[in-house]
Amino acid sequence: MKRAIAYERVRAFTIRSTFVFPLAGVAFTWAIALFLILTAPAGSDIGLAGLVGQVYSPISALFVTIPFAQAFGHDYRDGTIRLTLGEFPNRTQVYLAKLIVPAVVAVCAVIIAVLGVAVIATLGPSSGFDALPALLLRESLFTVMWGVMVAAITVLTRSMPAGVTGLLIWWLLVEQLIGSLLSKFPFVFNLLPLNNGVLWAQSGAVQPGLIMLLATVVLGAVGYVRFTRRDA
Amino acid sequence: MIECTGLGKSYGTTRAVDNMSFTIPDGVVTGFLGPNGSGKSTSMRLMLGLDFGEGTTLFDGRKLADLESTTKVVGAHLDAKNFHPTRTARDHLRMLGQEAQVSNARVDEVIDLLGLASVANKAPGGFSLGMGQRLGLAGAILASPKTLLLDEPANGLDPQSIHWLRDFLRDYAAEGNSVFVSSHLLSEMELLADHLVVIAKGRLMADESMDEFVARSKTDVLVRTVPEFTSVLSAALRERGAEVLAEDGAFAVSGVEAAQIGMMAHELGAPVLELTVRQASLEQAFLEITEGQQGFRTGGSK
Repeated sequence: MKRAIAYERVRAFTIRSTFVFPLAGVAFTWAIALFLILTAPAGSDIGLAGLVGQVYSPISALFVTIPFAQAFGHDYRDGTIRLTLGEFPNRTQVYLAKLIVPAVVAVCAVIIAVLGVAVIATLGPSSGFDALPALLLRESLFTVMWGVMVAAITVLTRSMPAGVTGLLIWWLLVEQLIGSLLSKFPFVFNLLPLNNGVLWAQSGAVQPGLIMLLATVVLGAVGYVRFTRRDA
Repeated sequence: MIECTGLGKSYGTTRAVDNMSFTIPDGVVTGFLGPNGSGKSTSMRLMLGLDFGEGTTLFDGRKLADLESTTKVVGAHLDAKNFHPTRTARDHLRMLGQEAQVSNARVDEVIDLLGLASVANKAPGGFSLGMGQRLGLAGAILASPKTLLLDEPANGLDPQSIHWLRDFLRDYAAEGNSVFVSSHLLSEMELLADHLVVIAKGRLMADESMDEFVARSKTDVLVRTVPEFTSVLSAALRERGAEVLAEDGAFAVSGVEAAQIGMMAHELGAPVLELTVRQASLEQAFLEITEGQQGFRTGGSK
């Protein structure tokens, strides 16, 4: 397993985009935070948790989790999947390594993003800094779960663009449509994994978090089965 | 030694590889021949566990999945374009070296060996086919594996590089390693391989030494004399038990030595305009054995 992770680390760290996209996500988050702080009415204080909830959105997660899509998408696109699986016949190890390395990158990016937002928050009226550790944990977990789903979609479609944009489209279009069309049935909202995930990341409520976790586990498992049983 | 037993693979109703069993011995280069679409690449992917199908492949008696380090046992090069376009050649090799914990010094050594030093820090997206082949070969030999599996490694290489590759692979095999090479270049294969595995339409046609395979094809003698003696000489040769076939104003004789033909012509007073011994070639033997077995036929000549 250590060698598979080492292989994946070198694979990921020797292409610039592994760092460029997460840093773009960080910059996007900071820019929004700065805009909100500088344009906030005098005396208004939404607290650090509120600010992070507003600025670290799924759009930030989209950028930060691009390395998850690249981990599988580049290998399929360039044919290097044959080199990878030729060296590591144990596909479970490869699948895990391809989730662990981007997860480390994503968590680092989230930490930088959220700490940066905390610093930016000090420029305006701010409070709630005691929530910082919990925010770091929640946003990191949210991003990793998002990334696992991105990876799974990439495996299923063998398409990096589909992996990167699939979840965002699902969240922005499908879940919003379902939510509005079936607004008379509030229980439906409990079944929408990304809306619940965003709610959990912002509020810390446990049940919505579990719904996103369930969706992550199911999609991740489907991706795993496909990855381990498909011709390279 | 590699032992393949019962390799099989179907795509829908098409049987791409059908119950193939063969052995790749140590110490020699084994050529893997077959017409287009015969299942060579599929067989190699099955051997490496990249595709799912039937059968087993043992490398020195062990399955690939049971090996402690795969790249010390098998080095494979299946495609000249299997690299990320912006990852430098050196980094590509560093990545491939992780499984066997290959040192950076070894990476540089292989880069020098394959003549990649001037492009080692360049992105391979703009590499020619030949340079891609070199990078692929570099990856295959990086961990000094006991076995090399190479799919069309000479494609795109210049004549000097082909000559180098031939010497390199023969030397590699001579050290007691197994080298399994597929190629469409039959003349090159004739110079390179000692053993052959020949397939057609997914089925094994031959698994034997180069000499045995070539001997399947007949050696004959092309004889050309003046028209007045053609029928006389051919009748005399038939009387001696030779097989004589007319061929464009001459005749091809098999079953009798060239020297005997010369003596008979002399005895009959027939002037000999041409007496050519035509040795059986790999190409001839290959074409004979795979006749009608092509997966994809080209149009007939007019």
